[in-house]
Parts: sequence; C-alpha cells; structure tokens
Amino acid sequence: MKDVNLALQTWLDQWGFRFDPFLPLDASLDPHLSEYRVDHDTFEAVWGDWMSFVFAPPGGGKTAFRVNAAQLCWIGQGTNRPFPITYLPSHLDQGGTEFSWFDHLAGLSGAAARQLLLALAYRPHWLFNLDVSDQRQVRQAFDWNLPGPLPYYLAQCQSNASLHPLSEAFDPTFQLADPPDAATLGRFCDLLLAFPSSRNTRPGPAERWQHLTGLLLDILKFEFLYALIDGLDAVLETGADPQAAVNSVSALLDHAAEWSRQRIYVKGFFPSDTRAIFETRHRDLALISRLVTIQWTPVLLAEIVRKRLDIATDGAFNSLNAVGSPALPTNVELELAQLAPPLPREMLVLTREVLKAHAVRTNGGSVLEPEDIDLALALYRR
Amino acid sequence: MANIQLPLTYSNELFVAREEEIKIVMDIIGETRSGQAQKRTVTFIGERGIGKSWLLRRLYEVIGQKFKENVMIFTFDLEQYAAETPTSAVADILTRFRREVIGLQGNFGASLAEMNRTVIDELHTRLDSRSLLILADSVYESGWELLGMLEEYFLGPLAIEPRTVIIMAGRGRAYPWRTPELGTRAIFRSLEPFDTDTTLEQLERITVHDKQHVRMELNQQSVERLWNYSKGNPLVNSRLAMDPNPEQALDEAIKDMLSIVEPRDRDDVRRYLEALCVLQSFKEDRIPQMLTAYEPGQDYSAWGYAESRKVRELLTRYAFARWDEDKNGYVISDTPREQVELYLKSKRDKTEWKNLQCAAYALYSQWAQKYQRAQRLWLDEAQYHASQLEGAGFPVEEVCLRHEQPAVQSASGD
Repeated sequence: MKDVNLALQTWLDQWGFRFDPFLPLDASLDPHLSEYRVDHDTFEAVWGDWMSFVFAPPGGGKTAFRVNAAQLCWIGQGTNRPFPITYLPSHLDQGGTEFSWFDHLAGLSGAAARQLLLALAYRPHWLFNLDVSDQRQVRQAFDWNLPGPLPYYLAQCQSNASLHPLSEAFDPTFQLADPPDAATLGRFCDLLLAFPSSRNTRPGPAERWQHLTGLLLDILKFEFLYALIDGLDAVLETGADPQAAVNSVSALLDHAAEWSRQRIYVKGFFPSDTRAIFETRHRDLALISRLVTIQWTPVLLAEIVRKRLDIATDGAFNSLNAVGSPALPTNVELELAQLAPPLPREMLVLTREVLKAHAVRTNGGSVLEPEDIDLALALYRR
Repeated sequence: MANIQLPLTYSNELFVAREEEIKIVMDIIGETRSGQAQKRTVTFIGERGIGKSWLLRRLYEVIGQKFKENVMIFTFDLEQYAAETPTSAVADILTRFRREVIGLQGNFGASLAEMNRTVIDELHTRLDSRSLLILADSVYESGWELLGMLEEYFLGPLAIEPRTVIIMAGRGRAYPWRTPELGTRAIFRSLEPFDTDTTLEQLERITVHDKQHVRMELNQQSVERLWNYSKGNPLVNSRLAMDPNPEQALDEAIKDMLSIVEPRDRDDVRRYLEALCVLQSFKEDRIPQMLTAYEPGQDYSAWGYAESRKVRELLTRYAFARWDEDKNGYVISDTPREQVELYLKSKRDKTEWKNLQCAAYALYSQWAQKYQRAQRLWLDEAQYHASQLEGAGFPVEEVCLRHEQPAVQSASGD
C-alpha cells in the first residue's frame, strides 16, 4: 500500500498536481470543496434567501452541497452575509428518532453557538466592534448553549496560540483565511473571559434560541440565518427508515414557514427516499420551498472529475486524456462515468483506482494506457 | 512605412461596434440603481487585439457621461502588476481604490484582511445612494495565486455589495471564482471578431484619424481580401491595413500578439506556435514530431514527456493554448493559430507549412494503425491534414516524403 501511494504521488508530482484531487472522499473533510462546484441547477436551488430541500442517496453529494453553502457564507470580512447553522441532529446518535420542537431548538442553539464561537475567533473584530453590553450578550450566548464551559475551549486556543483545537472540536471544514495572530487571539479570549459566567442562569430552549437569533440578526447584523439540516442517513435508525427520518425532524419543519418570515431559512439535505414522505407530511412547506433531487448523470459525474483535475493542476488541464497515451479512447471521464454507479463518491473511487493501477503498473511512469482502465475496473468490481 | 505604434491609443472617434455589449452593461447599471439587478458581473473574453481594453475604456467614457455623479468608477489592469507579488499587487489596488473612490489616504491596515475591512466600512459611508462600477482588465491572463487573493480581499467582498457592478475582461482559461456573484451568477460574453462591414468602418475611421496609417484603397473587395487574412481581429486589421504585403504584415501582426510575452520567452513561443499551428489539437506526444518537421536540421526524437511538457506549459502560461475537452487536447487560441498558419502559408514556397502538414499526416496515419481502439479518431485526424494539403493544391502522395516518427520517451524511459 505504501509503495502504491508513493508511486501515485510520484506520478501526480510529475504532472504538476498541487494535491491528490480524489481524496478525501468525505466531503466534509475536503479543504478544496468550494472550488469544485458542479451541478449548478442544484446549487441555484440551495443558495439564496429561501427554504430549500435537496434529496440524494448516501454518497450522492448532499454533504458537499451543504458544506459548500456554509463556506460561501464566509466571503469577505463583514457580517453582511447569511450565518450558517449546520445542524446534524445529535439526538440521532443517542438512538432516538422522535424529537420535540424544544429538542430541536436546543440542538440548533448548540450548533449555532459552536459556529458563532468559531466565526468570532476567526473574525474577532466583530466582537471588538460591539459595545460592552452587546459583548456581554455574546458571552451569555456561549454560556447558555455551548456543550462545555467557554473557558475550557478558550484555554485550548490560548495554550496552542491557534484556533486549530476549536476547528477540530467543532467543525474541521471551517477554514477561513487570515486567522488572528497570537496577540489578537489572546485579546479575544481575555475579553470574553472578563465577563462572569451565566451558565447557572440558563433558561429553556425557546428563550435561548430567541436570544441567540436576536444576537446574530440584530446585534451582529448577519443578513439571514440558514439552518442547514443534514445527517439523517448517518445512523441506522433513520438511514434505513425514511419515515423515521422525516419524523425525526418534523417538529422542526412545522415551524420552517414561520421562521422564513423572520429571516431564518431552513435548508434540508435529506436522503432521496424521504422525498415522497416529506412532500406528503409537509405538503404546504414543500409548496413554498425549492425542492431538488440530485440526479447524477454520467455527464455530471465526468464533470466532477474534470473540475477536480482543473483545480488540482491550476487550470493546466481538466481531463485524464491530457495524461493519457494516443491509445486511450477520447473522453475517458465519460467512459468511466458510464460504468460507475451514479454517485460522486463512487466516481472518485473508480477514477483513483485508474491512477493507482497505472502507478502500480509503471511505478509512477508517464501516461495512462487502456490497460490501466481495464485493471481498475476489474479491481473495482471485485 | 509610417512610424505608427500599434495597438493604437484609444480614441472615441476610432471606437466601432460593440453596441450589444455596451447595452448589456448599461442595463445592468440601471437595474442595480433600481435594486432589480439579478446579475451584476460581466466578463468579456477574447483574444489579444479583439478590443477588450477598448471596450472597457468605452464603458468608462459612456457610463461616466450618462450617470455622472450617480456611479463611482474604479479601473485597474492586472497586466501592470505582472512583476509584483500577489500580496503587493492587491495591497496596491486596495490603496488606489481607497484614494480614488473613497478619497482617503494614509495607513489603513497592516494586513490585506484589515485593509479590506477598512475599505468596505468606509465605502458604505462614502457610497451613499450611488452605485460602484469596477472595470478590471487582463484578469484571466493573471496567475491563480493573484486572482485568489484578489477575490478574497477585493472583488469577492465588493461583488456581494448590492450596488456594485463588476466588469472584467481577459483571455485564457476562466478562473474558478468561489463567489457565486463572480462566477456562476455572472454573465460571460465572448467578443466576436469584426465582420467585413465593421472592418471597413474601422479602417475608414482610422483613415480619418490618420491618413498615413491605411496604405490601401478602402472598398468592399479590398477589405474582404484583408479580412481573409485578419479574420476580423481589430488589431490585425489595423496592422494589415498598414502593409500591403501579407507575409510582412502577418509577421508584424504576430509580433504584436507576442508583445505580451516576456522578451526572454518570445522566440521560443513563436517557434512553438509555428510548429504546432497546423494541428487541431496537441498533447506532449505530438510535440517532438512537429518540432522536427519545423526545424529539419534538429532532431527532437530523444525528447521525453518532461521536455515536451515545458513547451506546453510555456504556451499555456501565456494563455496561447488551453485544454479543450471537446478536441481532446490542447488547442492554440483561434487568432494566434490562424495568424501563424496564414503567415506560413503566405510565404512563397510554403515549405514549412507543407512539412508540418505532412508530419501530422504521417504521425496520425501511424497512430491509426498502431492504436486500434482509437483508430477512427486518428484516421480522421490524418484525413484532416490530407485535405488541408490537397485544398492548397498539394496532393499528399506527391508532397509528403516519408517522415520518421520519434516515439516520445517517457520520463521513466518506457
């Protein structure tokens, strides 16, 4: 395995790749995800000030769209953007599937608080520019909604002089340019720690949610809130039972229309087999939302590979044919896409198998040959 | 010959055509002012000499005149920052923007992030009810590191401001903007070459401006003859109008096109363009063969992919070639390719052009026999070159001597 990876890396280096574009497979761990955007129809349905629901099977790209939407919220240095709340219903991990409105409010508040702490840590000037009473509100929001005491998280940042522990703990996909220097980070931590803790006065979920949304929209002045709901197929109870999946978030969805009038937009990223149940159970919501089921045609799957090649080579080429011999058929990506299951993850796996097959056959040699594709297909289908 | 510098300096009297493009931008400005604009970024794409910079200049004049105090305009040309580091270039653009649009000078941040924050905050105060127009030239010719920083600290934050309109111009491969307002939600428009009527109008205006520039009689027939060489590229039109000798004029037109190449690379870029111009597309595996045909005294058969890749990288670095997925190879951009091939064909004996066509025909014929799975593709390519020769009056069987096809050595010696 080590030799294969070394040979593959040699080959990638030879052809000017900045990185391996077919790893990682988990979209939520890919730092280049926002550069790869394809399927503009789905993107246009997701990105905007409205409710939207994207449906796809596991490995079908839901998380990629969700992560991309969240990352787009952080363009620029100001708050004149939507604030993304990535909500992966944590109660699912605990084996439950029926949750109340208040359970969701508590979960969303926790998710929003984690996101806000990360955002303010990267953009401390947002906190510095507030007056003292508003800064106190921020401290209060953290005390009421973070899973652990705020000093615990800040201490890790201070001792590492870095935001890495925070990102690792809360959201590895949260990567903004220009993290604060050690002195600014220290000032940020000290400012928050100067306020007394409000943990003992923690109110109920509804009041905590109202406090937090007021902080985000009226004090920090984010334009909108996007509640990005994902992860319903991450656990067996809901992944194998679409009815249970819809039921698990129904109490939240019942309030989505009302929220949209308060500048809070729900955006769901749900398993494809939940769509019919969702449209029946939440008919009125479905009528006023944008719904799209991701259809991964061979053309789109080929585009995924091309986009990644384009970015990884800084625009030098966007096809495996560029690194293939004259014996290769044209449009190799499309040929592979027609043989792969209609899922982005599988397309990436298969494409990487081709490169690995070539690397093994030639020990990092030059151009792809038809036998590399034949061997990769044989291995993939095994 | 009159000592006339090309390209000509912009003048409103010399500007022709592009009414549609101007209307697109004017409409967007109007919609932006009324809060109805769906798309607020337009990118004009085209070859060197097609008139991108002139169009930006025209927009500057027209919009400035029509909207006067209601639109603030800022222009910059990334070509001017080619020798600077990306950080320095973006810092300079931010500093200029602050000075020219916001009217402030002095220290405003120790980092690009801080400078950007200051500028955006100050802009909100300064803009009032006005709109902001950014005109950015030479965008796609620039390196991706610079464009990434430009997006992060200048264009991205401005693009999301509802009263900002951004007009970009460039040639080469499109940059994958993250900001939807710059990329997926922008308008992209290729600038087309002039037709013969517009070419005539262009040359007539040049004549009014400077009688000595145009050294040919201007009528429909003469302009059609000129157009057969220029293919309507405005810069090439003006070059060919100066010199009635096609070979000389095309040679000078090619030099005009290569003026953006650093002097140390210019000769090599010219050689490679000439060696590859007859091909519909190319990859590294064709380069040694074509160079050997172009320079019969040299032997490139020992070249491996590494050496050939340097040729490809040089041409793509200067945006003369890009990967084309439809053609399954790198293509030389239309205007340089046409001009260079016409130049070779305009020479009296056409030896170089014939050698290149024959080399391509021989290579693809051999590949058609060797690579059975892709035989149809290579037969079609061979046939293309045969038809090019026959169309010029050179039957393949007569003009094409046997060409050796050097096998490209792989980096590992396979």
